[in-house]
Amino acid sequence: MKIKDVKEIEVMAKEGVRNLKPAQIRITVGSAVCGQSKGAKETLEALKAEIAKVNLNADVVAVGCNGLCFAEPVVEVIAPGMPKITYGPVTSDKVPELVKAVKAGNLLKGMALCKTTRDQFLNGTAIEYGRTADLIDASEFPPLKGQVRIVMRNAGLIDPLSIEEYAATGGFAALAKALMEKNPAKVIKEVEASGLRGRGGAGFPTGLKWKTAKESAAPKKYVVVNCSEGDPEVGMHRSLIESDPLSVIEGMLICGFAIGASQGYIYISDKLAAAEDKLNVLISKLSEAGLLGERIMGTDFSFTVTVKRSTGSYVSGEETALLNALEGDITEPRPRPPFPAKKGLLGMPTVVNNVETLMNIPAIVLKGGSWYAGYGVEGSCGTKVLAVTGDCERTMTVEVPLGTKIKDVIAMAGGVKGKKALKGFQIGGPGGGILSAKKINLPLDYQKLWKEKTMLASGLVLMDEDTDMVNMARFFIRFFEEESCGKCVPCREGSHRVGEVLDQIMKGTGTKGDLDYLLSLEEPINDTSACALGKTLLAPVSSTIKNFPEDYAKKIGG
Amino acid sequence: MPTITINGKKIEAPENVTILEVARENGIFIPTLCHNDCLAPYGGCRLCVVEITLGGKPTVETSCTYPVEEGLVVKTDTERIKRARRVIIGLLLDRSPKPVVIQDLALEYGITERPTRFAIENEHCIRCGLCVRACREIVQARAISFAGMGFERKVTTPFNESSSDCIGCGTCELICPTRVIDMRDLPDAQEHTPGDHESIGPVRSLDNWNTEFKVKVCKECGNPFYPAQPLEKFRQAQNLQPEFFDTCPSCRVTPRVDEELCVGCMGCAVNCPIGAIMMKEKEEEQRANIYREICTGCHYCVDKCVVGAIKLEEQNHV
Repeated sequence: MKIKDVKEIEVMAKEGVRNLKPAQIRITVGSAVCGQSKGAKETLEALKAEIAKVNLNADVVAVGCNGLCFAEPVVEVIAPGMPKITYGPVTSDKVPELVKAVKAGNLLKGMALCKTTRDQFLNGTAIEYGRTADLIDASEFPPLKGQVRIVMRNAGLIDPLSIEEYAATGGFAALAKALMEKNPAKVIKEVEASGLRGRGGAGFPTGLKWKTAKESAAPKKYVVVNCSEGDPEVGMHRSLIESDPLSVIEGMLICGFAIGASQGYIYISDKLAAAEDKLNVLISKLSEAGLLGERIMGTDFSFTVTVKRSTGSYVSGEETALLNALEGDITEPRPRPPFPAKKGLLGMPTVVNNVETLMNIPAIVLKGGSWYAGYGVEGSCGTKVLAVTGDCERTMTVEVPLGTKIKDVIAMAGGVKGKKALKGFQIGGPGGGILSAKKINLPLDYQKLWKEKTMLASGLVLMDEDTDMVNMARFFIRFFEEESCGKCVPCREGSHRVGEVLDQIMKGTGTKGDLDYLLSLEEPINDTSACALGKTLLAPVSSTIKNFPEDYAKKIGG
Repeated sequence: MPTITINGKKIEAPENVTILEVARENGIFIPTLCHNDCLAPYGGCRLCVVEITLGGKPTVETSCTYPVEEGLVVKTDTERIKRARRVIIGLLLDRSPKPVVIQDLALEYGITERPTRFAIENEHCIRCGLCVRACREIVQARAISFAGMGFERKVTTPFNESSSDCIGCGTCELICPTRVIDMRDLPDAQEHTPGDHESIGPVRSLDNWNTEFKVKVCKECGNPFYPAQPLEKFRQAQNLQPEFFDTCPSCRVTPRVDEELCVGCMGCAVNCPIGAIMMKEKEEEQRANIYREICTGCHYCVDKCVVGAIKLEEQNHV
């Protein structure tokens, strides 16, 4: 259908609700790339074949990732009279057993993880499922207990390619609200009131960024989505954008409306090919539906979105380097000031926001800034998505209110693998250093983490007692060495030299003087580097020297 | 006009200029390696860092890129800044110990010893990017660029092949602070074919970019003077008579800067099609200087000079 009026979104939503709770059975398979790597595709095919074989009236839908990575492939079954049951891992050989149980209206105990009796959406719609099943409720299920899903509201629930299902859970209602009220200043006010900070690590207040761009009188403005995720071992944004790409697009549209832009780019990492394909399909679908392009929903607001593949380096996630890459130039940071919100893409005011930040926007606009600020703590409002990985029992993606203690997040992931002790962990990406296990009482709070010389990035990586921290530091320095763009001297030459010194320490030829030399570099390199990559270059080294001196002592000797 | 403070001295600065420009205008020296007045600010070498305070805590920024704003307090020579510069110079010295500019800086900042733990390198290129930017911004040929990342970064032509965009103007050689670009004018080059070789006349070769250019010979004096191909381009672009470049600059009237009249506005320097004009210090003032090594004598700067300081004159043979 083509939306010609803002009110028609509700019609579309009703259509979607029928999909989400159909008269027959709905079986969803978590088919993001993470699920596929564990065999989700095979499970999906097997399910379709088996259903046809036993003549069961059921929809089989490929959805995104609901965060329970340890249980991939995750299958959810919604059958009349039954609660929604989450199963995992369901490999293709277990499909006949599952389908048999579903057909008989039974619960398959061995594989079932938890049940859901009610799904409440942003727009007030709620779907009630059946109540009785002898199974733990999702709200009490340890990996999910304590999670608040705002960014991940649709993850694993809807078909990422279905506009109707997205609308059913409150999608495009925020955009419709903004377009109906015709008050960009109010949108920005709500975003400011929400206290939302950029989720990339630097934590710059999003509302302030938008306000700066809005205040400019430039003839053209741009919205750019930074989806150039590059932290080693972490794939949080991939999971988010693959599971719910429409939230990102809606966030962009709202931003475009608020600052007065009519063109947006999604700059996506070359490793996210699956998400890129989905985005391109959706952009043409949305244009047909009157939700992108000229006169969106019949209003005066026009906006186009283009997907651009990144050059693939870590530094292309730095916002000014990203803009250079978008323009086809060398991927290296630009001098700042001027900041992109004043002078960005092609010299025009540009808001660069990351995926997670923008996915918050529709919820904030729909439910109000103060509702969002109700989550979290002062100065760090809302929720944060974290990929919990490394030496943990359950690898998973969680969304928790800010202010949650790190140890609680670790508990969700089932603690350290193999009942070992935790030695250290990383929360700020490679540039956030490695904190000692003693710090697990720290809350997820921007200011408190900055005080510990780390930041809040996209992953929580656990390291168990057997980890050699010198080796770990070397790993991250090698990463920086490979990913430095080479523009500025401290980062280009520094990363290489620090690597050389660490190599010698690893070989056993290091001296105590080497550690002093490394520590003496920290302040000057931090001061002089052009971007955050260089500024945080020494963090993996200085934090390990400080937190795990015994590991260095072993290598250097007396 | 914003008022800023540099090293305790209150200065009224013009709008839209950088800290470095204001400092130099006021006789405050800040070291640089990758900066050139004719090019857009880049911020690659980081030597020009200064401590700035604007309300909160002091931060360290590159003065070549940072625009002045009201109330800015700048310190150019604190211990923190000296420490930072020493680290940068040290890192440069580890890789490029020979170039005179690096040695001079090391001397100035009192670096006499380097850690012996590193592999010894002896590269001359310091990756300041002046050649890349001059080729792009002044000559607008975009024949060379950076390739590779991090420590592997180097200046080269696309795929290290001979570049068809290079016009052989020699601006890169002129602007290079470490003299790493090898440009040679050979009076009589030989083309080698298996079992034979043939004379092809005077040639300009730029080994770094794998390019070679046949050079035009002056009709008057018989001296080779400039690659033929770009001359035709300049002639057309500036509407000169067909026979203009038949003679070398020395055999016709060529531009010369009258230093008494020059006000150092750089109008000529930024407009010279090949960047043959650079600024030089004369009695603490900036003056345009035409480098005759690469000047084609095309007269373009004569029109561009707003004060009439560039005049056409007979020249002595180079």
